[in-house]
Amino acid sequence: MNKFYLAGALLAASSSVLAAEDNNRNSNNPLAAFNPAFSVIFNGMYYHDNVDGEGVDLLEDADSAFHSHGGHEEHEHDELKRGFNLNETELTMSGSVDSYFDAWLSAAISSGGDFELEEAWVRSQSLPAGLQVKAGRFLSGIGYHNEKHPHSWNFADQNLAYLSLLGDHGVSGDGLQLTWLAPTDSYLQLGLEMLQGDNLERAGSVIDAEEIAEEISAELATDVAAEDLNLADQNGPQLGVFTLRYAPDLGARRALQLGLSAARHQDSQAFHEEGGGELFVTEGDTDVYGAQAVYKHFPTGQYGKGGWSLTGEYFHADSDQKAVYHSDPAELGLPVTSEQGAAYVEATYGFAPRWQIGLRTAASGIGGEFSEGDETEEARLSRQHSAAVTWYATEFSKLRLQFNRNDVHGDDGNEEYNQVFLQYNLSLGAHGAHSF
Amino acid sequence: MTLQTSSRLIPRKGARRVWVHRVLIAALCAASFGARADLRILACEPEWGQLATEIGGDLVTVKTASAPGQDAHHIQARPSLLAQVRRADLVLCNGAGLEAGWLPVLLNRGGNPAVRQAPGLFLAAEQVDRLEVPTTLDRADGDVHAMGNPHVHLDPRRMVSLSQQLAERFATLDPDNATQYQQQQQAWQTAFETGIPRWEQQAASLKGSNVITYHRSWVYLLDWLGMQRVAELEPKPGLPPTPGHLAELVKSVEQQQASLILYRPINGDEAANWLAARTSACAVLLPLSPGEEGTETLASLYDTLIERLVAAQQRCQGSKA
Repeated sequence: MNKFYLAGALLAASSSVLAAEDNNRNSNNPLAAFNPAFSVIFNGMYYHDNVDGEGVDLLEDADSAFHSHGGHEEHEHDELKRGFNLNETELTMSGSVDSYFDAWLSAAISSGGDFELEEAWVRSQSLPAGLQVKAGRFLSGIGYHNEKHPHSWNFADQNLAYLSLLGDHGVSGDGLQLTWLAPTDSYLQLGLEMLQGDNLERAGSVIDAEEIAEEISAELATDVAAEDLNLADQNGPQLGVFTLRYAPDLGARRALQLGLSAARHQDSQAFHEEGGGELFVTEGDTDVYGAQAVYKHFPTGQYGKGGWSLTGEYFHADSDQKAVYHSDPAELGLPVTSEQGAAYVEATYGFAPRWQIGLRTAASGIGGEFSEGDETEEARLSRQHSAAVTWYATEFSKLRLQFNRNDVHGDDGNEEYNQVFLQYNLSLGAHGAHSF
Repeated sequence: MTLQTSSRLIPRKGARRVWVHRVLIAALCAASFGARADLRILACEPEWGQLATEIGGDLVTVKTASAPGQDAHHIQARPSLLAQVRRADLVLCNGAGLEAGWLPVLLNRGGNPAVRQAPGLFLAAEQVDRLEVPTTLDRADGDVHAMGNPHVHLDPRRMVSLSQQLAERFATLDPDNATQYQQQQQAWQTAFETGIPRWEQQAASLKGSNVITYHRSWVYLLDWLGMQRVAELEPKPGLPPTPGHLAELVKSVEQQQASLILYRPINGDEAANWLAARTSACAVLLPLSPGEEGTETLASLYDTLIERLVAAQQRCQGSKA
């Protein structure tokens, strides 16, 4: 299997070389350059923490009103271990299909050689009136940071706010996206997405009924089948996302973008295991609301010097579910609600040519509440403070040293600890785009 | 239709309604006037915005993506540019890879099929012969442009050719005003072309001189004026000067008898001044685009460039001879 992909990669790389040679002729079309644009992104790090290498697990298990078991949050990630780590190697290919469509493909190869298709979409390029449709698998336009690929992050890891509500990889899925760009001097974009919604890691996650039924059967020593959980069929799109972005024209030296997002997952599911031996499965809908503000002051000096940016996002998730299966049949129909906020703020500054410093603070579990019937339990606040120094050798390669100070509330109480990342990130191939 | 509907509603719904409808009508009128004849142009760099303004006059409305003095390689595809692309009749850029990092994003996300290719897209450098077209491409050589050196606007002769092509493009996009574009271009060319022999005469003393440049920004200017670049302050295009590379340059300035070191404000003074202090060459700060200090029009850009080069040469011969 891997040989097949390697062969594909080599083929694509050689075709981009041919495309480069073609460019010596007058094309009058920048979109034709390197078509398809192919790149490989190499990402690796030296990692250390002072909690025996459990630093990432602790963050993922931070106290949350959205705890569930058997869902996609138990996906195998490339967990960071102390010492050397080869992170996901990303392959991307993009270009114009014809005058009607452009397309994008990105796939990640884990250090173990597993291949995962992250994005594969086509986008219309010929609709009138500022309309565009994207179809396939793509990163949702929810929030600001969600659409960014890891290689363009200002930090080595996902921020705690996204980690706690949207998951390590953010919100992505199979579906359709419609955007409309208003014909105004200021930028005003509305977006509407319909997604299958079957792969969310946190808010809006679904469970594997077979697996949970087996687990319950084992725990209770009875025979519980998947159908006994009374979960609705997940046929059809379950996730709708609405986005609004606004940016006034502040000239060529700075930019501001404000945005609002709202998402509804109409069939979220969760499996709960209570201390007293109660097991139950809930189902209902989940709403996520987000607000974002991004300000960038473009560099006045050379090689990025003097540029700075400030980004802040807040998300609030709210889930109303009912027990569709309960180990105590009298509790069937028990209303179960979860609600929680998360936020991060990050700042970057180009303090010298090719050198950037980044500061980030993030919190999860803001106002978190988990209620079963009349009983309410509060989720405790977890915090993360990060500082990173990045050296951009060129546009195609960077080295980063990052320090995190975490204060995490988890199942085993409060843990304060440090993480250190020394990361390299290189891109081989096409010229990366400087999207906002 | 709208007028009739609104006048029927006014007496019933009171003053607030009147105000709302007046604004609506005004907006509709403004929209219909705006769409009449004006060509809406988004220019990537100030030199192209300036050329479009000088040729198009009142018939065009020009917005420029980058400010004078900014590095056109490193502009971000900021949202307000997407809004400009959305409504543009023409996107006028340098091309030849200069905007490779951001123009594709603008064209792909601007939601405007008309400007994704000609005639709605005009890439200036790709309409004229280019210098320094590489025979091999390797990132190890730095940020080399596959299509050759993109900074063609520093040769006024190429600008004359481009002004004709641009006026033709205006006429294609706005046929009602074709004659006027042609007349405006001819008037512009007549005035502009009288400058060329004058500039060449003023720059006569520069001919044959060897120079060092910070980046490969000046090759078309040097080619026009008969000057040669013998080295660059950047060790490779797009990489900042290193102490080791600067130390080597000290030797080559003397060997190659380089007299001037050309740089832009965005390059910073340090490297150029460091080298000037250790060699017989003199540093000279130059504008790259109209709108930078001392320049407004394209003609005044060449005036300023030649004035500063000649002045630096004389100053240098006086002080370092």
